[in-house]
Amino acid sequence: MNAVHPVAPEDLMAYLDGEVSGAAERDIHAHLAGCDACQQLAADLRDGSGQLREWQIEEVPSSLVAPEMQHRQMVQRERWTSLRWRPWRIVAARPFVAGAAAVAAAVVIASAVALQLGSKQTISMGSSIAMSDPIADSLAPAERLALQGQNGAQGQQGQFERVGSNRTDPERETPGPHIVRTATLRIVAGEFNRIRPEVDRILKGAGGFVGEITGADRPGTPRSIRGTLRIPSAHFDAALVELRRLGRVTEDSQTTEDVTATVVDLDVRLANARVTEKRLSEVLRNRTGGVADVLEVEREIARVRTEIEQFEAQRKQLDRRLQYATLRLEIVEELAASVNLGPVPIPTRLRHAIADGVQSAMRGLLESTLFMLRVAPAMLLWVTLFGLPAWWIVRRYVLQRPGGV
Amino acid sequence: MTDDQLILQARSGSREAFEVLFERYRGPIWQFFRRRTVDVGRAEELAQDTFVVLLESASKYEARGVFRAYLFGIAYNVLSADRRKATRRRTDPLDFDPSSPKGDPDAGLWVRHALARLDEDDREILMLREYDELSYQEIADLRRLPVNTVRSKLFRARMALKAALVPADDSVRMKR
Repeated sequence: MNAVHPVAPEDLMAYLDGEVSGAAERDIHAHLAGCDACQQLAADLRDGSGQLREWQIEEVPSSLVAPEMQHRQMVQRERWTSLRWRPWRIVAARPFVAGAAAVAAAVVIASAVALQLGSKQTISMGSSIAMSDPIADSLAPAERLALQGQNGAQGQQGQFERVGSNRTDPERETPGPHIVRTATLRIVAGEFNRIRPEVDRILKGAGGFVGEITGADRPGTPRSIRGTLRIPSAHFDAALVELRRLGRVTEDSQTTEDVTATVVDLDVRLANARVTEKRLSEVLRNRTGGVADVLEVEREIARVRTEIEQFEAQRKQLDRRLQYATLRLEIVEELAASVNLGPVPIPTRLRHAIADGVQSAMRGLLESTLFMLRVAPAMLLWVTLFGLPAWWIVRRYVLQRPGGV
Repeated sequence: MTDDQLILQARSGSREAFEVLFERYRGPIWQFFRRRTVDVGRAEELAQDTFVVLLESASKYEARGVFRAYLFGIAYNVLSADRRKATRRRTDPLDFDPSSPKGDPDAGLWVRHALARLDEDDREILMLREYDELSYQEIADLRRLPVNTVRSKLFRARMALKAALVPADDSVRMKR
C-alpha cells in the first residue's frame, strides 16, 4: 500500500484516532475521500472499535467510596513537606508561629512518652503505705493513673480515628481509648467481723458483683477473705477509696491494658463482614447464575455469618472487660501484738532450769510407771507359761545329772 | 473546573475538590480494573488503592493538563504490582480470563474471546486506547515505549482483532 498510497495504514489509523493534525491531517482527509481501499480500512477500524464497545462493564459498586482518611494524611504530609523544605522561612517570617510549633512538638513528644508508659502501667505502693495515712497516699497513684488515661485519650484520639475510618463502611463508631483496668488490694483489718458486710455494701453501692470470694478461718492463723470483684469502671476509683478505709493497706497496685487496637480491629472486621454478607445476599437475590453458583453463594453467606457471630461474641466479651474493672481483694485479720519484756535474768533462768529438771524427772517417773503398768501383766503371763516349765526342766535334768554343775 | 485545579485544591486540604475528582474518575478507574481482573472484589480493592496512591503522591503531581494520564499511570502501576504479587503467590487465576463465569456472561463474550487471543502487549495497548481513551503519547509514556512502537503495536492489535472477531463473531451470534 505504501508504494501506491501516500498514506500508510498506520497513519490512517492515527488520523481516525485524532492523533494527526495540521497539514498531515488535511492530506489524509483528502486522500481518504478518494481512496476505496483506505475507506475500507477505515470502515474496518471503526467497526473493530464499535465491536469492542459491546463489552460493557457493570456499574461501579456503591462500596467504592473516596478514601477519606488517607486524604487527611495526604494533607498532613503536604504540610509537613512544606515545613521540611522551608523551615527557615517560617522561623524568619513568623517567629511566634515557630515558637508555638516548638512547644506543640514538645507537648506531643511528652504525650507520646507518657502514652508509652501508660499503656502497661503498674503502680505498686508496697508496705511502706502502712506507715502513713493509707487513704491519702493511695489516692495519689489512682489519680495519676486516671490522668494518664485522659492524656492517653487525647493523644491517641487522632490515631484511633485514622485507623478506625480507614475502611470503607464502618458500621460502629470506635472512639478511643479503650482501657481494661485491673487492681490488687491487700488490707489488714482489725475488726474483722464487720469486713464482709462492708465489702458487700461497697460492692452493691458501686453496682458491682462478686466474681469469686473465699473466706478462711483456721485455728492458729488469722482469718482472711480473698476474692475477685467486678466493679463498673465508672465507679471503680470510688469503690477503691471506700475499700481502702476498711483497714491498713499493705499492697495497692493497678494495671491498665490498652485494647483500643483490638476494639478497632474487631469493629472494622465486623463492619466489613456485614458488608460482605449484604453483598452476597444481594447476589443471591438477583441469582443470575446456575444452581452451583447459588449453592456456592449460600455457603459463602453461611461462612461470613459464622465469622460475624464470632466477631460479635468477641466484641461482647471485650465490652464486658471494658465495662467492669477487676479487683483482686485480700483482707487479712490483724493479730494482737506480742509482749516483749527483754532478756531473762540468770537466777530466773536457774529457777526455770531446776523447775524444768524436777518436772522432767517427775515426768520420767510417771512415764516409767505407766510403762510398767502397761507391760507387767503380759510379762507375768509369759513367765508363767514358759519360764516355770523351763526352770523345772533345768533343775530336773541338768542340775541333778552326775558331773553336772 | 479542570482536573488540575481540583487536584491542586485537594492538595491544599479541600475535601470537596477531591470528592469531585473521585466522582469524575471512579467509573473509568473501576472499568480499567474490572476489564483486567477476574474477581470483582479484587477490582474494587485495586481501584481503591489507586485513589489512595493518588492522594499519597499528589504532592509530586505537576499540573500540566495530563491528570487523566497521570491517574491511569497510577492505576497501571497498581495493576502491575498486583500481577507481580499474584505471580509470586501462584494462587490466583489468570487476570484475563474471558470464559470466567464471575464476569458478566452476556456482555461482549466474543469480544473478550478475541481479545484473549491477542499478544499480551498488543492487547494492553489496544485496551488503553479503546477503553481508557489514552493518547498514543500517554500510552507510550505509560508503557515506556517510543510513540511509533505504540502506533505499530496498536495497528497490529487492531488487525489481529479484526481477524479474531470475524469467525468468532459469526459463530457466537449464530448460537445466540
